[in-house]
Amino acid sequence: MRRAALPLAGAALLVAAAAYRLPHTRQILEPERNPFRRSLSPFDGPAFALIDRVAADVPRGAKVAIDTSSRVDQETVYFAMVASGMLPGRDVRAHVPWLEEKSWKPDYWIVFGSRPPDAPAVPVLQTPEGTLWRPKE
Amino acid sequence: MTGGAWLATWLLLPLVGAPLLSHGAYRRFSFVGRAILSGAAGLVALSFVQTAASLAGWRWRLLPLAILSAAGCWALRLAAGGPPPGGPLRLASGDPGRRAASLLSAMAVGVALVATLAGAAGSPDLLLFWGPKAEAFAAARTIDAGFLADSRTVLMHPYYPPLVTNLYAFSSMAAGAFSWRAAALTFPILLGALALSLPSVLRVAERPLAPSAVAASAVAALGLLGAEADIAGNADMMLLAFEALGAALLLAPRPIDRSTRLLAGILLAGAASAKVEGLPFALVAILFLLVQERRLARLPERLALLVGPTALSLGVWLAFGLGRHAFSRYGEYGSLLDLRPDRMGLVLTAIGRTVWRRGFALPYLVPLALVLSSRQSPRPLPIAVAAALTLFLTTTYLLPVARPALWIEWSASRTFSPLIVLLSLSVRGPRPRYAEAAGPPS
Repeated sequence: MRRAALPLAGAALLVAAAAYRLPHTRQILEPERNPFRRSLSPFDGPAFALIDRVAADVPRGAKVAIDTSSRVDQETVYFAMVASGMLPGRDVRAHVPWLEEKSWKPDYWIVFGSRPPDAPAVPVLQTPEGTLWRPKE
Repeated sequence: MTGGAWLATWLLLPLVGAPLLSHGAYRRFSFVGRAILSGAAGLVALSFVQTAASLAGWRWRLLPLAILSAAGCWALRLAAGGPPPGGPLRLASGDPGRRAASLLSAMAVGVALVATLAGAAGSPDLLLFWGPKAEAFAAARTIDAGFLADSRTVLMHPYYPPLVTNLYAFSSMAAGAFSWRAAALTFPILLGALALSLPSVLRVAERPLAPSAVAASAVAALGLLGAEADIAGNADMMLLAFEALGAALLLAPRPIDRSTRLLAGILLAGAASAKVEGLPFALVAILFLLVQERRLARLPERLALLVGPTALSLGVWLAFGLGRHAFSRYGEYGSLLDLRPDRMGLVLTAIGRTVWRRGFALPYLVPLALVLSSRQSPRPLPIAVAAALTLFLTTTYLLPVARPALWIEWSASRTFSPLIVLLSLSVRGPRPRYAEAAGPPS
């Protein structure tokens, strides 16, 4: 047993450290099942929550533009990468000027962040993380 | 419900690997350990068959893939040879602290499970490329070369080896859809599989210290690091499991018999097929083993058993990628000729800072403390592999990328994590008081 003492003590210390670093019990018991909501990247939780929610409303084959209320290009491109992965079969593109093709017209807009007041589109769905829109006819 | 079906597919893997692991030579492992090793071997075979089928232009169908993979394991059984000369390997005389170790391992896995369910361990890489690639492959029922070659997916690292995306695609085809939540749960599941199988492998190592206790400390370290570095759903836990089991097999008493050598070769092929970093790990481990063995007798055969599975697995992947123009090179961060030695200070500082931020470096410091506090000299093989890997990874971070500090912050705590495994494996027990010449156990 003496031979095992040090590895066991090390394991106990590591388990205690891992338990100490867990979120608060109340947060653990939250009903929301978002595997990224406390990820190191601050964008992943909201991105997963929004795309997971709107995915059923965006049919396969649709063209989808991704925008952010912050209008920070890097954030927009990141959200577009996540959306592209989570919306297979759709043509997903970031709505940033230097990536835009004029001939490409989206069927849907997904906007991360607060609802844009001047959106030239019709809201389809709103969540705490963002909104889904269809362009006005 | 999709998530349950998605994960349930993994229960097929031990059946796929059973034709190999039912070989008598592997009876020295516990039943559970053997089942998990069987699953690991089955997965390597399945991924190979999926990649070969993609190269041949055949669409994936679940049952034929599983049957062909099991047939491949049957063929490998022939390569495992007969039982080891001198009877089965000598089992360690004891496993002190086994109950306490099992409890601590279970707690480590439980904490990892809670962290994953609480959304505190989800990997961004799962969202950005492991998941999307698997979804695309499942939809195409093959490794989709067009998807990988598309300029819009260039940030998804098209050349990354295929084992994890192949498995995720296989599960998605069986379940009818990809499950993000189930994919995240692979972290505690694989950690649990390692906790159940590593003691069994360490028990037949040469001069084991306290197999279950040492395994528990490694599992607890990986659990803490995994939650801190957000590895749930990416390929890191798969890589670590293959590396830990493969390297642990190489600690068997010398001379290492044919069946152990083959199984180690298959598991190291799993590591090389899971992540790019798995290849240097496998090659360095095999190289140091051959150097340590210091004998030329039957070298081609010994080499083939160890390197053959990796050569086959990655060979078919490279043939697919280059032949189908899915990717043109096995890397993306620059040439070794363009290294920036002037960045050494920056790189070392950034590595130190990143490792410290993930649980105050405890996942590394505890195994290191075990090595330093041991009365026995550490095993040379894991220490040599750890040193070579550290040198390789540090050199890699000297490549001329635009923002090295950001790259290191994002990846270093994960890329260096095999050191946790290697340091843990390097601890060994005292020489037996009575001569081992007593021969094999009756």
